[in-house]
Amino acid sequence: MSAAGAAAGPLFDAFAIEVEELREGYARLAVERSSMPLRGVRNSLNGGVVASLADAAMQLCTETVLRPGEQPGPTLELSVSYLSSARGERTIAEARLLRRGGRLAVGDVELRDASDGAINAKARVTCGIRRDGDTNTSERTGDD
Amino acid sequence: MPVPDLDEWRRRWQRPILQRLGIRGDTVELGYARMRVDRPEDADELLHRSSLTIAVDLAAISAVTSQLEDGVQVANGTAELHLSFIDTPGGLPDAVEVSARVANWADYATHLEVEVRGHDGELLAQGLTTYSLRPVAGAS
Repeated sequence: MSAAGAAAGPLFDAFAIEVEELREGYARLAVERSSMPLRGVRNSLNGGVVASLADAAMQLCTETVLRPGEQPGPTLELSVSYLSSARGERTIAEARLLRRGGRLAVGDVELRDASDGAINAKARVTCGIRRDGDTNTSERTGDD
Repeated sequence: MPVPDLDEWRRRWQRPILQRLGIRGDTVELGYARMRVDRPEDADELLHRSSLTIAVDLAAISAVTSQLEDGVQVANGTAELHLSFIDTPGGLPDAVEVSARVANWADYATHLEVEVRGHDGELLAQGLTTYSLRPVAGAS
Protein backbone atom coordinates (compact mmCIF):
# COMPACT_ATOMS: atom_id res chain seq x y z
CA MET A 1 0.00 0.00 0.00
CA SER A 2 1.33 3.46 -0.78
CA ALA A 3 1.73 6.12 1.86
CA ALA A 4 -1.22 7.96 0.42
CA GLY A 5 -3.25 4.77 0.52
CA ALA A 6 -2.45 4.13 4.16
CA ALA A 7 -3.31 7.73 4.98
CA ALA A 8 -6.81 7.10 3.68
CA GLY A 9 -7.19 4.04 5.90
CA PRO A 10 -9.72 3.52 8.67
CA LEU A 11 -7.42 4.51 11.55
CA PHE A 12 -6.92 7.93 9.97
CA ASP A 13 -10.66 8.28 9.52
CA ALA A 14 -11.50 7.13 13.06
CA PHE A 15 -9.22 9.71 14.70
CA ALA A 16 -9.22 12.40 11.98
CA ILE A 17 -5.46 12.05 11.55
CA GLU A 18 -3.93 14.39 8.99
CA VAL A 19 -0.76 13.65 7.05
CA GLU A 20 1.21 16.90 6.97
CA GLU A 21 4.44 15.77 5.34
CA LEU A 22 6.02 12.67 3.88
CA ARG A 23 9.53 12.43 2.50
CA GLU A 24 12.24 9.80 2.51
CA GLY A 25 12.80 8.69 6.08
CA TYR A 26 10.35 11.17 7.57
CA ALA A 27 6.62 11.41 8.26
CA ARG A 28 4.62 14.06 10.12
CA LEU A 29 1.03 13.56 11.24
CA ALA A 30 -1.31 15.86 13.13
CA VAL A 31 -4.51 15.55 15.15
CA GLU A 32 -6.87 18.12 16.63
CA ARG A 33 -7.79 17.40 20.23
CA SER A 34 -11.26 18.84 19.70
CA SER A 35 -12.00 16.14 17.14
CA MET A 36 -10.54 13.34 19.26
CA PRO A 37 -13.30 11.00 20.46
CA LEU A 38 -11.20 9.34 23.18
CA ARG A 39 -9.57 11.34 25.98
CA GLY A 40 -7.25 10.53 28.84
CA VAL A 41 -6.29 12.11 32.15
CA ARG A 42 -7.24 15.80 32.46
CA ASN A 43 -8.88 15.69 29.04
CA SER A 44 -5.58 15.01 27.27
CA LEU A 45 -5.10 12.62 24.37
CA ASN A 46 -5.58 9.05 25.59
CA GLY A 47 -2.30 7.19 26.12
CA GLY A 48 -3.30 4.41 23.76
CA VAL A 49 -4.13 6.97 21.09
CA VAL A 50 -0.72 8.59 21.57
CA ALA A 51 0.94 5.19 21.09
CA SER A 52 -1.21 4.52 18.03
CA LEU A 53 -0.23 7.87 16.52
CA ALA A 54 3.43 6.96 17.00
CA ASP A 55 2.80 3.58 15.39
CA ALA A 56 0.98 5.14 12.43
CA ALA A 57 3.67 7.78 11.92
CA MET A 58 6.41 5.16 11.86
CA GLN A 59 4.36 2.97 9.53
CA LEU A 60 4.18 5.83 7.02
CA CYS A 61 7.84 6.70 7.58
CA THR A 62 8.76 3.10 6.74
CA GLU A 63 6.70 3.26 3.57
CA THR A 64 8.86 6.14 2.33
CA VAL A 65 11.94 3.90 2.22
CA LEU A 66 10.45 0.76 0.68
CA ARG A 67 12.01 -0.69 -2.45
CA PRO A 68 10.14 -2.23 -5.38
CA GLY A 69 8.47 -5.46 -4.35
CA GLU A 70 8.31 -4.52 -0.65
CA GLN A 71 5.36 -3.71 1.59
CA PRO A 72 5.22 -2.43 5.15
CA GLY A 73 5.08 -5.26 7.63
CA PRO A 74 3.77 -5.34 11.17
CA THR A 75 5.07 -3.24 14.00
CA LEU A 76 7.24 -5.47 16.16
CA GLU A 77 8.30 -3.13 18.96
CA LEU A 78 6.54 -0.09 20.33
CA SER A 79 8.04 1.77 23.27
CA VAL A 80 6.57 5.06 24.42
CA SER A 81 7.69 7.45 27.16
CA TYR A 82 4.90 9.82 28.11
CA LEU A 83 6.60 13.06 29.12
CA SER A 84 3.66 15.42 29.55
CA SER A 85 -0.07 15.31 28.99
CA ALA A 86 -0.97 16.01 25.36
CA ARG A 87 -3.42 18.82 26.02
CA GLY A 88 -2.57 21.15 23.15
CA GLU A 89 -5.33 21.84 20.64
CA ARG A 90 -3.16 20.39 17.88
CA THR A 91 -0.61 17.61 18.37
CA ILE A 92 2.10 16.74 15.86
CA ALA A 93 3.69 13.28 15.54
CA GLU A 94 7.03 13.27 13.73
CA ALA A 95 8.70 9.99 12.78
CA ARG A 96 12.35 9.89 11.74
CA LEU A 97 14.04 6.81 10.41
CA LEU A 98 17.08 5.73 12.37
CA ARG A 99 18.00 2.65 10.35
CA ARG A 100 16.49 0.67 7.51
CA GLY A 101 17.83 -2.86 7.32
CA GLY A 102 16.73 -5.57 4.95
CA ARG A 103 13.69 -6.61 6.95
CA LEU A 104 13.36 -4.06 9.72
CA ALA A 105 13.07 -0.31 9.99
CA VAL A 106 13.72 1.45 13.30
CA GLY A 107 12.63 4.99 14.01
CA ASP A 108 12.14 7.66 16.62
CA VAL A 109 8.79 9.37 16.95
CA GLU A 110 8.17 12.57 18.87
CA LEU A 111 4.77 13.97 19.73
CA ARG A 112 4.66 17.71 20.39
CA ASP A 113 2.19 20.47 21.02
CA ALA A 114 1.95 22.27 17.67
CA SER A 115 1.53 25.68 19.30
CA ASP A 116 4.72 25.82 21.36
CA GLY A 117 6.70 22.69 20.47
CA ALA A 118 6.45 21.26 24.01
CA ILE A 119 7.22 17.56 23.89
CA ASN A 120 4.45 15.22 25.03
CA ALA A 121 5.88 11.80 24.23
CA LYS A 122 8.85 10.09 22.65
CA ALA A 123 8.62 6.66 21.08
CA ARG A 124 10.94 4.11 19.53
CA VAL A 125 9.22 1.93 16.95
CA THR A 126 10.46 -1.08 14.97
CA CYS A 127 8.52 -2.00 11.83
CA GLY A 128 8.86 -5.10 9.70
CA ILE A 129 9.28 -5.03 5.93
CA ARG A 130 7.65 -7.70 3.79
CA ARG A 131 8.75 -8.78 0.36
CA ASP A 132 6.72 -10.16 -2.52
CA GLY A 133 6.49 -13.90 -2.14
CA ASP A 134 6.82 -13.96 1.63
CA THR A 135 4.53 -16.56 3.09
CA ASN A 136 5.57 -17.29 6.65
CA THR A 137 6.75 -14.06 8.19
CA SER A 138 7.56 -15.73 11.50
CA GLU A 139 10.57 -17.37 9.85
CA ARG A 140 12.08 -14.04 8.92
CA THR A 141 14.45 -13.10 11.65
CA GLY A 142 17.54 -12.14 9.63
CA ASP A 143 18.52 -8.65 8.57
CA ASP A 144 20.54 -8.42 5.39
CA MET B 1 -11.08 2.88 45.20
CA PRO B 2 -12.80 -0.49 45.31
CA VAL B 3 -13.10 -2.90 42.43
CA PRO B 4 -16.00 -1.49 40.40
CA ASP B 5 -19.25 -3.30 39.83
CA LEU B 6 -18.64 -5.46 36.77
CA ASP B 7 -21.74 -4.39 34.84
CA GLU B 8 -21.11 -0.72 35.56
CA TRP B 9 -17.46 -1.09 34.50
CA ARG B 10 -18.46 -2.81 31.26
CA ARG B 11 -20.90 -0.01 30.48
CA ARG B 12 -18.01 2.50 30.68
CA TRP B 13 -16.55 0.99 27.54
CA GLN B 14 -19.68 1.08 25.44
CA ARG B 15 -18.87 4.46 23.91
CA PRO B 16 -19.22 4.82 20.14
CA ILE B 17 -15.50 5.19 19.44
CA LEU B 18 -14.71 1.99 21.35
CA GLN B 19 -17.49 0.16 19.53
CA ARG B 20 -15.97 1.51 16.31
CA LEU B 21 -12.62 -0.01 17.35
CA GLY B 22 -14.22 -3.29 18.49
CA ILE B 23 -13.15 -2.82 22.13
CA ARG B 24 -15.30 -3.93 25.07
CA GLY B 25 -14.70 -4.60 28.73
CA ASP B 26 -14.59 -8.24 29.78
CA THR B 27 -13.65 -8.47 33.44
CA VAL B 28 -12.03 -6.48 36.22
CA GLU B 29 -10.68 -7.69 39.54
CA LEU B 30 -8.33 -6.29 42.17
CA GLY B 31 -5.22 -5.29 40.21
CA TYR B 32 -6.35 -6.97 37.00
CA ALA B 33 -8.48 -6.13 33.98
CA ARG B 34 -9.20 -7.79 30.66
CA MET B 35 -10.67 -6.29 27.49
CA ARG B 36 -11.83 -8.01 24.33
CA VAL B 37 -11.20 -6.70 20.85
CA ASP B 38 -13.15 -7.93 17.84
CA ARG B 39 -11.85 -6.67 14.54
CA PRO B 40 -14.42 -4.48 12.78
CA GLU B 41 -15.25 -5.56 9.23
CA ASP B 42 -13.36 -2.67 7.63
CA ALA B 43 -10.32 -2.73 9.95
CA ASP B 44 -6.92 -3.12 8.36
CA GLU B 45 -3.89 -4.28 10.36
CA LEU B 46 -2.98 -0.75 11.44
CA LEU B 47 -6.42 -0.04 12.87
CA HIS B 48 -6.67 -3.45 14.54
CA ARG B 49 -3.21 -3.09 16.10
CA SER B 50 -4.15 0.39 17.29
CA SER B 51 -7.30 -1.03 18.87
CA LEU B 52 -5.14 -3.53 20.76
CA THR B 53 -2.77 -0.80 21.89
CA ILE B 54 -5.65 1.38 23.08
CA ALA B 55 -7.21 -1.63 24.83
CA VAL B 56 -3.89 -2.25 26.61
CA ASP B 57 -3.98 1.29 27.97
CA LEU B 58 -7.62 0.98 29.04
CA ALA B 59 -6.98 -2.37 30.72
CA ALA B 60 -4.00 -0.88 32.54
CA ILE B 61 -5.91 2.11 33.90
CA SER B 62 -8.72 -0.23 34.98
CA ALA B 63 -6.30 -2.51 36.82
CA VAL B 64 -4.69 0.49 38.48
CA THR B 65 -7.90 2.17 39.58
CA SER B 66 -9.21 -1.12 40.98
CA GLN B 67 -6.31 -1.09 43.42
CA LEU B 68 -6.17 2.59 44.37
CA GLU B 69 -6.85 3.40 48.01
CA ASP B 70 -9.36 6.20 48.43
CA GLY B 71 -7.76 9.30 49.91
CA VAL B 72 -4.20 8.02 49.53
CA GLN B 73 -3.30 8.10 45.85
CA VAL B 74 -4.85 9.11 42.54
CA ALA B 75 -3.99 7.91 39.06
CA ASN B 76 -1.82 10.44 37.27
CA GLY B 77 -1.56 8.96 33.78
CA THR B 78 0.44 6.50 31.72
CA ALA B 79 4.18 7.06 32.07
CA GLU B 80 5.67 4.26 29.94
CA LEU B 81 4.36 1.66 27.52
CA HIS B 82 6.55 -1.06 26.04
CA LEU B 83 4.94 -3.61 23.74
CA SER B 84 6.54 -6.39 21.71
CA PHE B 85 4.30 -7.77 18.96
CA ILE B 86 4.90 -11.25 17.63
CA ASP B 87 4.99 -11.36 13.84
CA THR B 88 1.97 -13.58 13.22
CA PRO B 89 1.72 -15.18 9.78
CA GLY B 90 -1.40 -13.91 8.06
CA GLY B 91 -1.82 -11.00 10.44
CA LEU B 92 -3.49 -10.57 13.81
CA PRO B 93 -6.49 -12.80 14.52
CA ASP B 94 -9.89 -11.15 14.50
CA ALA B 95 -10.78 -11.96 18.12
CA VAL B 96 -8.27 -10.93 20.76
CA GLU B 97 -8.02 -10.67 24.55
CA VAL B 98 -6.00 -7.89 26.17
CA SER B 99 -5.09 -8.09 29.85
CA ALA B 100 -3.19 -5.99 32.36
CA ARG B 101 -2.05 -7.15 35.79
CA VAL B 102 -0.40 -5.05 38.49
CA ALA B 103 3.10 -6.42 39.07
CA ASN B 104 4.41 -3.87 41.51
CA TRP B 105 2.88 -1.02 43.50
CA ALA B 106 4.85 1.88 44.94
CA ASP B 107 4.12 5.37 46.21
CA TYR B 108 4.53 7.19 42.91
CA ALA B 109 4.25 4.51 40.24
CA THR B 110 2.85 1.10 39.51
CA HIS B 111 4.16 -1.38 36.96
CA LEU B 112 1.83 -3.68 35.06
CA GLU B 113 2.38 -6.76 32.93
CA VAL B 114 0.27 -6.64 29.78
CA GLU B 115 -0.56 -9.41 27.36
CA VAL B 116 -2.42 -9.75 24.09
CA ARG B 117 -3.64 -13.24 23.22
CA GLY B 118 -5.78 -14.80 20.53
CA HIS B 119 -9.02 -16.59 21.37
CA ASP B 120 -7.22 -19.93 21.62
CA GLY B 121 -4.59 -18.51 23.93
CA GLU B 122 -1.70 -17.90 21.54
CA LEU B 123 0.52 -15.02 22.59
CA LEU B 124 0.36 -12.05 20.19
CA ALA B 125 2.04 -9.30 22.18
CA GLN B 126 3.54 -8.82 25.61
CA GLY B 127 4.88 -5.88 27.49
CA LEU B 128 5.13 -3.67 30.51
CA THR B 129 3.48 -0.40 31.28
CA THR B 130 4.18 2.07 34.04
CA TYR B 131 1.41 4.17 35.48
CA SER B 132 2.15 7.34 37.40
CA LEU B 133 0.48 7.80 40.81
CA ARG B 134 0.10 10.98 42.81
CA PRO B 135 -0.39 11.15 46.54
CA VAL B 136 -3.52 12.91 47.67
CA ALA B 137 -2.69 16.21 49.38
CA GLY B 138 -2.50 15.69 53.12
CA ALA B 139 -2.24 11.92 52.87
CA SER B 140 0.75 10.46 54.64
